[in-house]
Amino acid sequence: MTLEVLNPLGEVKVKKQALVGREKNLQGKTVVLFSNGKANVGLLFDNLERLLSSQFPSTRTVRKGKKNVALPAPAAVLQETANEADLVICGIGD
Amino acid sequence: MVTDQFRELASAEAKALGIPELPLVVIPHPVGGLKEPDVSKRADWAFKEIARYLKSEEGSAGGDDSAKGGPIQFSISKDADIQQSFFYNKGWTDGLPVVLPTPDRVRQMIGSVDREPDEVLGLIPPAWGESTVLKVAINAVMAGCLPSYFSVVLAAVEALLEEKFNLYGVQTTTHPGSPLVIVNGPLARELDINCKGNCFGQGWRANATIGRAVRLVLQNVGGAVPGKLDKATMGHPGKYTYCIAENEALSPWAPLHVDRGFDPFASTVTVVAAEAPQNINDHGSISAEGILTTICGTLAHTGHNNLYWASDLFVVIGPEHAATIAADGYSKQDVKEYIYDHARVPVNKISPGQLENYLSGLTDADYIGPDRTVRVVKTIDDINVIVAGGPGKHSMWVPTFISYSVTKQIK
Repeated sequence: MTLEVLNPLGEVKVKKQALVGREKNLQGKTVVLFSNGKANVGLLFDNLERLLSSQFPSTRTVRKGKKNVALPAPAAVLQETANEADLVICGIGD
Repeated sequence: MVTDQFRELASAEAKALGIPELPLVVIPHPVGGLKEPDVSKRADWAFKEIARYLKSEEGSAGGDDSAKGGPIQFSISKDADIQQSFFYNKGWTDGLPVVLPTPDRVRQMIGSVDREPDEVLGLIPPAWGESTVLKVAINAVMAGCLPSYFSVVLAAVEALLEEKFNLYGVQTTTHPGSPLVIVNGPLARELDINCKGNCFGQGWRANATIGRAVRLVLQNVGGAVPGKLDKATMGHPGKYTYCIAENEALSPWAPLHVDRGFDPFASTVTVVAAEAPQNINDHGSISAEGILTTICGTLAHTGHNNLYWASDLFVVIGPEHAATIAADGYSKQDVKEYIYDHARVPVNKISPGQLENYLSGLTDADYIGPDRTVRVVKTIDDINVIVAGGPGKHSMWVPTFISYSVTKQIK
């Protein structure tokens, strides 16, 4: 003998999105380093910039980000980033 | 880029947002708190991962739109111990036994309000699960709510979904913020939601189960399971339940909902992302200024979020303290002004590293006063004063997360 119980989980309706194509060669391209404002992200990005420029001298790196760690990035900043970047490295989830 | 401890959250978010193939650069945790040479090593690691990603083949986009949530109902054993193990092992509980959400019980819960079961209140992050009246009812049954409490739970969930509450941040932060539900108006008395002695503690079914229902909704519908997508470092006991009513009968001032423009005879729920309440013990002062000095002294410490991120906070004044303050002619606005002016932390109580963190993006002048103190509250409007509690000379204050409180009328 069994008992019927209802499922408390929320239904997640996933709307598939497409990523833009992968940029394999960064020479001459723009990489945006997008900060979420967490501690030491600036320092991490300083080091990444140094490494990127040593391997890809003609790559341009741009820093963008949000000021408040707990709030979403402003839509305008996200759009600027999308318009400008060939690759976005967003950090850091910790 | 994500540290290994947060990889699961990042993957879940990518899937829920429809981009499961989003490349993740995973590096060892932590990054914050490290000295420069160790951050440099993390950057080396990240760069190798980025280089690997650039060389690898593009992953397939794969998949179409889909819906996940599992079966609508389950057939389980009639053995009580097996039933509880079923729910616990599924990760659907808060660790305590639950009331089984049978179709009959859920029907009774929904029958207490004039809403359709498939009405969608909103999407709850971080899994972006659909919060319907039905799903809230299922979790309210599990929490042990009476059907008469359901309208309060629904109003609380609707309030949490307002943008200024910042539910996404609250659900995924390492901070211990958890919704505190404050009920005002006639329904608080009708439902016997405790506003008096031990109001933050145990013993009242309404307080215990309304707060618990809210937490189960956030966990089960929103996917914020501790250790997986709920990344709270410590949490606090309010994550089991956190619900009080305001002691309007013993308050010398207008209640919270009237401050916020609601009719005194309306019933409302206010939610705020709250840390555990902190006691303010003052058995000695016999003047308003004395008690307010103690209140401000309690607020003026480091370690809470209000010191560096703007959000509103709550001061819950006990009835005896409130009577003493009001007897000296202080209005609620006078109380707020006193707290705004006097709740300040000397800069030398803040470590240099933490001060640098607090100042991120700000100048010294934006943040530190000429007397080298930092205000606990950034604007006077961020201070909320309510009266609750029983006999005794204690008050409480409630530090909060980066979130603003929301008040909704209970339909």
